[in-house]
Amino acid sequence: MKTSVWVAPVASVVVLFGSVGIAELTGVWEVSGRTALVAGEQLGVDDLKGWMTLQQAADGLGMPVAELIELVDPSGNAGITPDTAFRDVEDHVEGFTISAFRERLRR
Amino acid sequence: MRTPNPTARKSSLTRFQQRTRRIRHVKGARHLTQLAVAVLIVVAAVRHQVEQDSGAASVDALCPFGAMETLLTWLTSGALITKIHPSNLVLGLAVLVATLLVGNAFCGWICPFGAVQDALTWVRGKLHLPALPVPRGLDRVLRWGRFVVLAVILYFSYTTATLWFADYDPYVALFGLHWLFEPDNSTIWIGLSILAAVVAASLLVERAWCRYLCPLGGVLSVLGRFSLFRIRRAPTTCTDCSLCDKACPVGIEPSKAAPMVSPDCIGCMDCVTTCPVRGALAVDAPVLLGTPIRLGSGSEAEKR
Repeated sequence: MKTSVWVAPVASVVVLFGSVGIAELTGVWEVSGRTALVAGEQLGVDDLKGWMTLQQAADGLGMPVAELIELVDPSGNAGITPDTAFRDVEDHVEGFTISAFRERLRR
Repeated sequence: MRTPNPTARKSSLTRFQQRTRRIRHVKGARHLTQLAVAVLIVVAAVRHQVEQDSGAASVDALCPFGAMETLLTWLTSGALITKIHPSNLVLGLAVLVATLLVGNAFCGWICPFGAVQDALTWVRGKLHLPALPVPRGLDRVLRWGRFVVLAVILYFSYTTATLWFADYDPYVALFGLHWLFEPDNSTIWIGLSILAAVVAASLLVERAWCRYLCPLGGVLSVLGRFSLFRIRRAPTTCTDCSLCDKACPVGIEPSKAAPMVSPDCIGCMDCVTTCPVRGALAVDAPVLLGTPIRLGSGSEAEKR
């Protein structure tokens, strides 16, 4: 059964954007792991995310930020500040990954 | 005042003019769709870079291939790898469903990196640069490169539980806009170097990335085998003029299809619109594993 050349492209666009629309309506559409941090709320090690600054993480974990910076960058040469996000630490401290850091904190 | 009758105007055109018009319309719609999606992605990337605290989507979160990269981790642990979000799963599922239903039109009509390569082909034409012919045997071997890249990405994504490919991905290197907003970031240079190589290759060979390296293209070429809609060549009607082969941006030679075109097809429809013989190439449905399911006495393409 011969069909129009428009069927495949139109259906593909409709399915793609339709899925995004349905996902948005049903609350499934999440494009970021970023959540609002509540002041004073305790964070677990698994709650640490790449977008968090070391200050936010230290506040959530209930530890001094200087101690956290020392854990992240023991040499102190990478210029890490309390405002540095974990994802930026990955660029400045060789071998640093947030998943490995979570493991270290767990131990 | 008389209003022009579109049917009468169409019938006054020669078949050549009708074909030319159809090629122009389909190509125009395709490039417009590609451009619209590319603009959406660039706007998302700018928002992600400028509004860093807003949680705006990154280009990683808007790529359907992210669903593949996290699939093994998701299946084994229920968790997603870093930088991958439910949006990736939604887009991945949508592309999978669309491909199974109507074939792979994502690569030809939607993928912004495909659009960039089409633009490079246009640039090559404007510069009157010759295309590099790839011998058929070498082409067949090189196409396995997509599956090698796919296997490497799946392995490292699973073992590191990170978006391992992001640092090497030419799509992220270009559309992530890190080169614009974070030029001092040393990690972007690997991706930019690969992007430069892909751009150079795509100037020589049309859609070189899609043909030989794109891991998502590899996945979709496998899924395309199970699609309900496929482009079908009617061998009795086809005159072997090979105009469709010249039109195909991924070099799959529809003129040699027997009868379904290769699952490497990206659904651009350039071969169907270019074909001068009515019914020699047509989108056929329903198709089961490459075999047309006869409804009535035969397919429309064969009846003509």
